[in-house]
Amino acid sequence: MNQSVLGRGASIMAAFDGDQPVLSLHELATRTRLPKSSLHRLAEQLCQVGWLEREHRGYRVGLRMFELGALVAEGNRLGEAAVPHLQALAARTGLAAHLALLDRVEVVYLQRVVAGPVRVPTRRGGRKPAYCTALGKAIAAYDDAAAYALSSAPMPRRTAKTITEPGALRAELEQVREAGLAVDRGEAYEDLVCVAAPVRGDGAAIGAVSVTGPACLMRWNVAGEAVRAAAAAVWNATVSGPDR
Amino acid sequence: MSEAPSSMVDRVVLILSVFERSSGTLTAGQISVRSGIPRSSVQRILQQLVSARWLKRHEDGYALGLRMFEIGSLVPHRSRITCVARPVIHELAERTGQVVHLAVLDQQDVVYLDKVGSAFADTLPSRVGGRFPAHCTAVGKALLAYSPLATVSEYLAAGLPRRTEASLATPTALEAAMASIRNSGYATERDEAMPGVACVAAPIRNFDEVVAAVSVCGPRDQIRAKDLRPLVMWTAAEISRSLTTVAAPLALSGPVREVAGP
Repeated sequence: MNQSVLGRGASIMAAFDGDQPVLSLHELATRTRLPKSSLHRLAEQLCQVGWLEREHRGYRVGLRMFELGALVAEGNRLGEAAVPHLQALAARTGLAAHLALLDRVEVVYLQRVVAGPVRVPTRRGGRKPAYCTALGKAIAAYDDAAAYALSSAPMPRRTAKTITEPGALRAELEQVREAGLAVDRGEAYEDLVCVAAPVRGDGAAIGAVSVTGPACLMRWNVAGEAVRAAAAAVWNATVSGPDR
Repeated sequence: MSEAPSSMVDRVVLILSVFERSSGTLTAGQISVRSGIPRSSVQRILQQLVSARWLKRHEDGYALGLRMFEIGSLVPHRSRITCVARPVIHELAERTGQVVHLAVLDQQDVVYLDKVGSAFADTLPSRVGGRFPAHCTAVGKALLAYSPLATVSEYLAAGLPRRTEASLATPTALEAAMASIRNSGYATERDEAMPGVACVAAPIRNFDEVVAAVSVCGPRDQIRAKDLRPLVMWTAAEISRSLTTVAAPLALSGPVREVAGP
């Protein structure tokens, strides 16, 4: 545990995970393992600078963090270029459309568009392990270092369909490269399926586009083609878009 | 520890705000000069920010890291309103062919939660996550008009800096504008934020409280308040209705539990 003020500040911010938007002092103490007295002092300081906001039940992430987060250049251009294509994709398939990039062995969701009543356990800015998502596999298939990292990291079983063997994952990535599409047949959640295509030109993928929904709503062929077309459109828009 | 904790937090805030004024990659030397913090101390803080992954080290310096985007996405206020508003404001942008803003009030500024629309968007000084003096914008005036008296007094006490010749610069002018907004239910702005640009805005409510505002913005000669008013007000009402009726987004509840980050 990093005991510097900055380290403690960072661990307070890291305690918020989208599961629970408001954390009480007690919950913060449990999650950060910091002593309550110094935690309280530091949390109050973070409120003063706008990183946290006080609520009657505890603390939530403050508006200043949103402002700083909006400045992160990584993925910014990609994320902006993708919005209209994700909306069209969500409208056409009736499923949840996502754009994500790969960060080590996890995917980070840059955008999420839901058109209909589909409920999926994802959110913008959220993370998921790459080995059990179509998005992660679509990106890693075109990046040897990432593929190696994925197959060397732990792959805990989440459902009966989860790929848990390094050899099986490597074979899966090979298939993804051949098809230009990655699928998740309920590998992260029992009833949730997904199809993803890499956003790329000739080289490595800079991200991936996917649609996700309950298995009963997935029409694989239609969704696969729509995702492939959307990923190509996002690539073109990112490469040719206005430089800001 | 010889350093007072408060100064440490303040130093980090100062260093991060350097990135706000010049997004992109900065060297340790540039950060030291722009923050006024000695080089050795900057170096130490940068190292810690990199290990917390708030900053990313590049060959030519430091940039805000992905982790910052992730934490920023957690601001509940933002995610809820933006999520609910998104489909409707895209529709508004499409129907009007103009730029649509979604903003909240924070002290002396509006902070833009979302911005969608035409190529004209690039010429406007607004950006998602950016700030602008509230009284110079239609969204800001709409928000101030429905703010508690104490908030307005504080706002006026801090002074009314002009952005253009047309900006409202006296408390009397702003108070008159707010009264007329409360009367009509919408706000307008012409040349007050940027010459040649006009806006029409309406307040968004969460039950009784005004929590955000939505606006349509475009070249002055294309923005006719009379034509746009019903569309903007309808959009604001629609977002207000969703805020109070739609279940909280999945981050807060849902059939499948959100999987926490590592």
